[in-house]
Amino acid sequence: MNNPVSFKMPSFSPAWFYLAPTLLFISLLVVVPLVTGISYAFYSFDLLAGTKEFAGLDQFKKLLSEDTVFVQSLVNMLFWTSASLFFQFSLGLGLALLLNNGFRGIKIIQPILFIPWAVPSFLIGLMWIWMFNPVTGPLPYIFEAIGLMETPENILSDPDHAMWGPIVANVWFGIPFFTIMLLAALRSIPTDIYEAANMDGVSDFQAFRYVTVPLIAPTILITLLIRAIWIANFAEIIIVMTNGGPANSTQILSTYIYDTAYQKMDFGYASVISIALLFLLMVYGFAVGRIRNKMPTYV
Amino acid sequence: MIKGAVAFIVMVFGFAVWQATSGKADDPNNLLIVEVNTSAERTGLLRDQLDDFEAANPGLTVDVISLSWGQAFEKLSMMVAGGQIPDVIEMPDFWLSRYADAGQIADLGPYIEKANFDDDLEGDTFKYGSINEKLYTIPYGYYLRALIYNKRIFKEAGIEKPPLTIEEFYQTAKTVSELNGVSGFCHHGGRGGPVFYYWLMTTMNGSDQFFDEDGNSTFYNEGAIKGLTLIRDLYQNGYAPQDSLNWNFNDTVSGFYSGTCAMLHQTPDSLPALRKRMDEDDFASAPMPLGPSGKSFPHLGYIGWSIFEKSSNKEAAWKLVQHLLNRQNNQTWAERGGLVPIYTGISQDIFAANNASQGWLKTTQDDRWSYLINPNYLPEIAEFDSITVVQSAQAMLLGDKTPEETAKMWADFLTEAQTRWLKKNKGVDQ
Amino acid sequence: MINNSKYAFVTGFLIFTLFPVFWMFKISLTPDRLLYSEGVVAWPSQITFDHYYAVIVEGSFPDYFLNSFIVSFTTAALTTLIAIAAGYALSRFRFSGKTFLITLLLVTQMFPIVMIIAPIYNVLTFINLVDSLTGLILVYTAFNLPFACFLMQSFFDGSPQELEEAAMIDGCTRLQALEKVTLPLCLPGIGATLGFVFTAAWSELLFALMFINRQSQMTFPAGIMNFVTKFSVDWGQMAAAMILALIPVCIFFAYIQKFIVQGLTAGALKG
Repeated sequence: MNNPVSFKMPSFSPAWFYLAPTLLFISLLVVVPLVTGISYAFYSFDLLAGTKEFAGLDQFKKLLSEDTVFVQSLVNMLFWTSASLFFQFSLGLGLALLLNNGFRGIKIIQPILFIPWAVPSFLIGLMWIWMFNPVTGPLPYIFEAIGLMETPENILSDPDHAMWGPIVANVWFGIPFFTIMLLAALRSIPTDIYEAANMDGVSDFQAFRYVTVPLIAPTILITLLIRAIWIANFAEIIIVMTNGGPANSTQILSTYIYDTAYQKMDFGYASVISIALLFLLMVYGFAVGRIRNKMPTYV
Repeated sequence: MIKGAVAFIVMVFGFAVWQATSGKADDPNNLLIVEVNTSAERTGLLRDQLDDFEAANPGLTVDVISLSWGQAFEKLSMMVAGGQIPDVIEMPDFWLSRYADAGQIADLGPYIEKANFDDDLEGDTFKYGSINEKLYTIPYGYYLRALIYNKRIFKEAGIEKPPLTIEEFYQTAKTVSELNGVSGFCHHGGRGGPVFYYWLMTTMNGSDQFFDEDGNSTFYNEGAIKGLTLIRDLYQNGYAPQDSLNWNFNDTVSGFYSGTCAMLHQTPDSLPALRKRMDEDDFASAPMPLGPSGKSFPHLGYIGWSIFEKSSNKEAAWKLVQHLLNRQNNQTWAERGGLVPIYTGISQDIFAANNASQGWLKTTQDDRWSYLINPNYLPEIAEFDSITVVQSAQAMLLGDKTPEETAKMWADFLTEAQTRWLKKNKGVDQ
Repeated sequence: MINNSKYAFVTGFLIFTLFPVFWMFKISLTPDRLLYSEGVVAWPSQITFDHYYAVIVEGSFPDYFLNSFIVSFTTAALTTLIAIAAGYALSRFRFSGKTFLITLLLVTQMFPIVMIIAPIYNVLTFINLVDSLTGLILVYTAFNLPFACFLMQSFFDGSPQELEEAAMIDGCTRLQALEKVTLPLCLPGIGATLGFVFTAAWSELLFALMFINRQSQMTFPAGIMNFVTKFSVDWGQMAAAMILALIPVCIFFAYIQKFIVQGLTAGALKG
């Protein structure tokens, strides 16, 4: 990264030519709104009246000193993000490896396996509400049959387990993302590498460990990074399925932000919570970035 | 390939620029009305009434934007903040103080002075729509609560008539729950449901006031706490479905017509949804049960028409509001939407004709029932109703908080909001 | 043995993926009166095509689908093309400001969208593109670009640079080398990016709901919200619309997968 040459010659790199359209889009439609959104944090802001009063750091103090829902939402968010990410990634990778090996009927099955990614997220929520409801859906009876529940009940109204409802829905939705990205990465590995490894008498597992994994590692890292960010910010399924309830047990930071902004109409404070979330995600992003930089690039 | 790509990008940009520069002129004779409690049938009815208006007022045209109920508030606030301001807006009671405080909606007081409404207009119509003596909205109908019950299930459980008192209500829920797979009460534990607690607490208190003379909330009174204890026991003993803890509007309605639960605390506009899926003979309605004082205070909500302060043609907008509220249109509107109309004469006609509506007829005619109106003037009321009460009542039903702690928390919230409001608007310093 | 367990896994995935979809399909064929009255059954005692008829013939869904297709297709093409350029720059060049740029692209994904939706609305009002499909396409492109850039970068990173350099020594310009050597190798990545952006735009609701007012400009997810009213959800029609919406996506994926499979052949040719 820190190429001393580029520091000495701050001339116009041809890279900017390739980047120009991206920069145009991002700055106009993302960066400008983003800066506006962040600036709310320092104001007591009324969206409807269009008035704002400078509030300095008062709202940050409130967040750190007296907000118990914030702490609860933070803990819930960590659970929601890590559980969703773990299952999405491991199942998605498994499926990608299967598909990469190829089997009969793959051309028909492959598009079907990608279906969940194309369903709008609020529909996913409604669909799984229907599945979890003992009056309309089969899942409570399946849970009862395999001994997870004593009587067929709705998991979404049980404060100790309610979070698993949206997590299952989210895993269903997110597996194809990892599958498609990792499959594309696997397909990009030239087959002759495996042939060479085969001739050297390397076992399948060793080939996976020492050839496949390093070659798809950049894709793994970037998908893990971006997906974690998205899941942490992803409120729609939870809003549809539980609305943060029962008794805040499925409240995560992004649903809390939504409520604060549009139910309490307190955009200033919502922005403060958003900045806290942004900070946490930046720490995570920085950590992943460090790992990425330590890896050799395959050129 | 690369040339083609560049050409494609340039093309899309060119189209965007062309669209951006072909501006739309703002025509003051074109009114924009926004509806928020949207359904396909109602949008059709509204359009019919607007067509009549256009025919009667040559030169004026009206466009409709239909927002879906779930996201209406977010979307409208964004339109307003973005400077895209409609002329007429459908205004639910709990939004009123937000828009009034922000100075976005016009005082209709000067207009009604010049206007004529029929004599049997519900006496409090203008009072309901006013904050601080300014009329911000004129209700087009009332969302009054009554108790809908499943006659078939009642028969099976050996219950002959709907509960008349809160005591009987509890017993009925208990008896029904002894049947296999049925619960007594369709509790509405999610958003929109808290008005049930307000009814229960005030009715147990024997007064329809949210605040006493000193501005302290009545929710921490003994009756109110008893009321909360009753609903907690009802839920914890299994007389309401376990997942009703987190039910929304449409879950309570579908719980009722699926026969999961037998009593529903609802407004008359849920009746069309019930008729579509149940036999007319299988359900009926009764007034909300009476409290220890022999009185009951069923909740009354309303949605009205308001005019934006920045409307480019307020005179025409007022004409439109008047048109939508005239006797004939209000009757169709109330009949088709299942509302209590604003003209009392019509109200009797509608409800008497209909078997399932007996509960509402009785509520509107018998002195033992009077209406409970939320303190809609408080800017915090939306937050209180949709977040604070929902989450903390769920905690109470689950046993994490006692009814007393919960009542205290709500009372403190309301008292604080009331104090702030009095200080700002009436110059009361406590 | 290995083969059997492989099929067992694939079957498991298929069941997990398709079971909820099957349930929605069942709902779409169930008459309204039987929806709740029959309890939990795998198949209703009576089926009806009324919901499909209502969606296709009576409602505005053909328009919604057309709008969705225009938006998704244009967004996918536009985003992928722009991202190829950006990903190439991020992968092949070293320049000052690169770390900053990457951080910036990442940060755009980290801030909750509900907080910036009002400012975006204002930008769209400013450029007069509220309530238009074009505005929606531009916003979708902007929000899908960061990830698409990273994705293309990682695929360029994974493709050998020597071939490109060899081509340049042979007298190709950089652009020619990119077009003739590197892009064919990255076809799987391009296919994945296209598929990803297309479906993201196809299923997006929040922006569509907030930035589009007129019924005639609505995309299919926003149109489907019409079935959710205050008191009831029209499950039958909603399920029918959802099932119909999956068909074009399946076709699109079936087409894209050829792209993704081609990578295999391209890799083999190289050796």
